[in-house]
Amino acid sequence: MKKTRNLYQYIGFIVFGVALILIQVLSGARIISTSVTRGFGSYMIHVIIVLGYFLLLGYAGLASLGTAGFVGLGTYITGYLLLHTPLPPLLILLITMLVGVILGFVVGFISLRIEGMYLAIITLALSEMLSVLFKNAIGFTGGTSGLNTYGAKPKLFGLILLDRTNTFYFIAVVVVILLVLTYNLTKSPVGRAMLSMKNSESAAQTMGVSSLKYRLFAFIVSSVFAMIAGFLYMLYYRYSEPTKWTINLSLNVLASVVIGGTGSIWGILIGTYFVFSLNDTLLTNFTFFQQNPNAFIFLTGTLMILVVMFYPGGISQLIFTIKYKGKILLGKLAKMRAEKKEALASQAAVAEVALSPSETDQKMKEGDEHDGKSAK
Amino acid sequence: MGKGIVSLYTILQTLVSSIMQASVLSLSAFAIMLIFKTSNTTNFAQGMISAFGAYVAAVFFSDLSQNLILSIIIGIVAAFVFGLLIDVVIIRNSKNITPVGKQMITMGLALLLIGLIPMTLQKNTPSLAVLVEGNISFRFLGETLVVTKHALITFCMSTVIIVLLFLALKFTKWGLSVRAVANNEMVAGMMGINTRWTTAFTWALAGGLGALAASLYGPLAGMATSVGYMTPIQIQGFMAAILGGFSLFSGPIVGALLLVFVGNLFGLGGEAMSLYKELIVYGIIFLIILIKPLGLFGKKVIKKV
Repeated sequence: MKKTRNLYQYIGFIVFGVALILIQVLSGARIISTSVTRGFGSYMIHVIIVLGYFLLLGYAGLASLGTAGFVGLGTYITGYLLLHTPLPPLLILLITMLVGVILGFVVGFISLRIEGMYLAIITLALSEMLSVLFKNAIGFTGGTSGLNTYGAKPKLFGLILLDRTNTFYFIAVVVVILLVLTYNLTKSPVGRAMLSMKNSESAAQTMGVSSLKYRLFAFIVSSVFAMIAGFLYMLYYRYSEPTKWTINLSLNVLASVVIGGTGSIWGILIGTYFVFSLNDTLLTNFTFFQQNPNAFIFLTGTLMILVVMFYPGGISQLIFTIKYKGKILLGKLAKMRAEKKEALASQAAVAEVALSPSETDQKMKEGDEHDGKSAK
Repeated sequence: MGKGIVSLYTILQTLVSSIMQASVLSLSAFAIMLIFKTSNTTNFAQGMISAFGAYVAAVFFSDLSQNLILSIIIGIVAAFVFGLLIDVVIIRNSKNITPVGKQMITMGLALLLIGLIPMTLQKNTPSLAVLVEGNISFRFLGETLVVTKHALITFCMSTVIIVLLFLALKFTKWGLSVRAVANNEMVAGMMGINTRWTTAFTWALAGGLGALAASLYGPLAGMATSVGYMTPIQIQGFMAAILGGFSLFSGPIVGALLLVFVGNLFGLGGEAMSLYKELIVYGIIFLIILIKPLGLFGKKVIKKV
């Protein structure tokens, strides 16, 4: 039972990845416009950031606002290494991930000393510190004018040139891998332990869950995910500047997890789409949203407040409710259909009474038996 | 190390030049503190609420009247009412939400305002002017120091306001009820204090203080182009509050003064130091928190389970 459910989830993730790849293929055939495809490219990168944050907030219950700084650092490290070293992309990915581990370890360690509510402030300050670095360390980041890697020609395995199209496919593959990883993690003992820590740290510790271990783990995973996203961002956009990595991004990442709800990964995927890509891929067709690019942020903020206040489960909860209600409805429908059949059968039986009395007796008997069965 | 090279004049002038930042930051930190005490949450929308008030003032100033003082007062009133509304509509109805959940509500509020202000108030890039143009020079310890009149007025005004607020907290009935709610909301309610309006009033007051700070800081910080110009101040306000600790009302203000004056003195230690002074100051604050998690003046509240 459990195995088949896992299998369904995996198939779902793969279908999701294939659908994303299809978007780029259709774009190549000029069926989908380039700007929409770009919107989905940005969507996939944000999905990775949000997945890491989902583990941190949804499972470990730690609200951080440092995400933007981490992703930014990932882009700059990638950009610097692409420009100044002949390292292959996968090795660069490994290096950025390693930096993510170190950074996550440091933040996690600081977080152990700080009560839950102050954590957001500390991580926000950390992001701000990184932003100072992005603006001023011109040799490394290009300063306020930004860093571009238009000149670099990274090749995957030394064979596939990572241009926009190929990078899109590459990101889609990474997204599917990370989705499966995240799903497995949430269903594993580690995920359960983190969830127990979120609900009550004292109770979790009493049951032998090490707060130190899992907090560090949650921070490390989320910052590694942020670093991977930064790496992919640099490959896809080939440009990074300090104004991208501000508190607005961190707030939006938080908003996608809150709106998506922490119940299921599908809710998160929808939440991320709502916050980061609905505007780029759909709403730009309306003049109101073209003229007011900020209108969407307003909607996000309003929705976030409403969700926290009145519907804390978010979209995941909505999916669950629909599923549950749907099951009940289906059950009712099936019952109604069965009753209808029975009614029809008895009608037929009544109709047959006039024709042949002997047969009718038999039918009546069957009907009685049937009723008896259903009563049992 | 640097002290031998840096002259007394540079040090004094740096300190004098910092008073604008110090006053704005103190007002913001005090507003953050008020809300923290009564609603037990850190208000991440503080910067945007302040900016909202300043933009109302700016729209009024550039479109309707050329009276700066009147415009600023209208902006303050607008932010005051806005703060009141936030409490009455949102915070009051989320009593049962965890502190982190409330924090998220304020973050949502920040997003809401980041989206709303450019659509409505900031459309024609309004801006405020400084109160009085020009500089004042004066002699102190044998050195001639220069300060802008705007900064000096701001400094005097915020000092008076903060002193008045401390006196009010200490001696008025309102101050007593705020302190009571801060201590234990439930018991305060049982003792006949109207906790709802005490909390609502602190939100309103925080909005008003923020709007004053934002209106005075706006013309210097380029409010016409960047909506989030109060966000750095808000982050510094949080760091000041963490440095001073949330236990005493004076903690964040001491933290703010330390952060500004000591931070700017660090900036004198050479080019690298001045570029990365925020990095250094925040780094030092992190170290202090690792040693004293409740801030410099923090007191541990023992919780019985």
